Amino acid sequence: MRLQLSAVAGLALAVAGAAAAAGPPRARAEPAAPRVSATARLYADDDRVTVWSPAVAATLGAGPLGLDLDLTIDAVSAASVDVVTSASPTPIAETRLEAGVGARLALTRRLTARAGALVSHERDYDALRVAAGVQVELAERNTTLDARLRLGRDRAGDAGDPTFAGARQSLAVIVTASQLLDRRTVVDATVELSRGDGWHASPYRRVAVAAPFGPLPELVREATPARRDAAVAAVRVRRALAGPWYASATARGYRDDWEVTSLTTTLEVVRQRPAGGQWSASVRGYGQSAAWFWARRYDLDPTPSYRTADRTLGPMASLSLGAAYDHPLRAASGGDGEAADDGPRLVAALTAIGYWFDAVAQSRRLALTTTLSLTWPL
Amino acid sequence: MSRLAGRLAGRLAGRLRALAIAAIVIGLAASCVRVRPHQRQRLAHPAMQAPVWPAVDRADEHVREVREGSGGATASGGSGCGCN
Repeated sequence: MRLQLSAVAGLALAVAGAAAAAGPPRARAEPAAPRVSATARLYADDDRVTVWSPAVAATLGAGPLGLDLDLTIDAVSAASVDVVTSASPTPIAETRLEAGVGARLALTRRLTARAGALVSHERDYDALRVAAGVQVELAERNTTLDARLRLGRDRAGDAGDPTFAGARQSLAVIVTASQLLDRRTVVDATVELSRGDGWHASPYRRVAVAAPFGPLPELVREATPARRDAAVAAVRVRRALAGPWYASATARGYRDDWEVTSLTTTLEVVRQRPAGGQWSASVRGYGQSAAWFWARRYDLDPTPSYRTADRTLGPMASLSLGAAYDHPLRAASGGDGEAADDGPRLVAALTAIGYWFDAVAQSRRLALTTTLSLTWPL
Repeated sequence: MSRLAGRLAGRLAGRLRALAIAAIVIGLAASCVRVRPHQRQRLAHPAMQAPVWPAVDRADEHVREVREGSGGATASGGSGCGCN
């Protein structure tokens, strides 16, 4: 599949033209609400993988300039079947550190520029992402256009092999359009085109390749194509329903040149509580087809050029059920009893995810994530 | 079940991509509905923002990036899991 940039380039030109028509620069800017937040997340599944992730974030603002900072730590403990059957037969413990910074600058009343960087590090993997974009509001803010460019660089190592090094560069263009349909409805459409060049596999995964008449399979290193081009499109509709009810529905389609195709649908319902705060319930369905080089079984004669033991590149499906509760820690300041967005808040969320893989070992997996987040205005 | 879901995903994903591109074009052209600022009380409610809770959405998206073979076009941007 070729990466079709002509449509995106045309749209980028349209955005630039709209930006030029947005008017002369003005001093007024959208103020960013300064706040700090602390989040704790626990992931656990029935494959004996647990991840504890504390995170802190801060949003600062001064006039037209806004700044976002965040820091996350992933403490991974895994005795997964994917781990104990790989080159590392013992359970692992791993710590990953991720730090991000982002800035927003209101150039005019309707034009905002953004830039950001994200870096992550663990013992055998480093990743860097930088992004820049612009957002323009048109037609009395009935229409919003957002265009973003993201560049990435990944470096993979092997804890048991100091001579191993795998590198990957990535590029993505993301364009989003939002349109108010009426007093209660917003529709968003997002298109993302991306390309990744370099190492995509894992040095720890070994692929069992069976000899035609041999008793035991041979374990060989994973090998995937060096280039991966992908196109993603998503449409979301958000609507304020009757009374305290709100709802959103999202559909996303994905396709890449490895022939992985997926469809994601999400439905979320939110209810505003009379005393402030809100709760929500969501359901998400995901279905995916296999990469063209994925197989349940590989034969040795000849050894396939591309081979993978990554179950996420095979046929799979998942179903997520989520619930979240948002509680203001101070009484609402709004006169009509609706929640004020200017006080400290506590959010608790629970998500249950069921996975189905086309795999010999553990074709089903159940995972739970629990998130607690405290936000405090500055 | 996973193969059936994969086939269904294959059929619908291509059509959905075309629909999203058309939605962008329509959104650019559809200036015929003007919602005035004083009419946006419900639209400005926190429950209408996307995502409703960014910290929770970011955490869930991080899990999906590791457990699924596709991603992107999300509100949180997506940066990969940065892991082996």
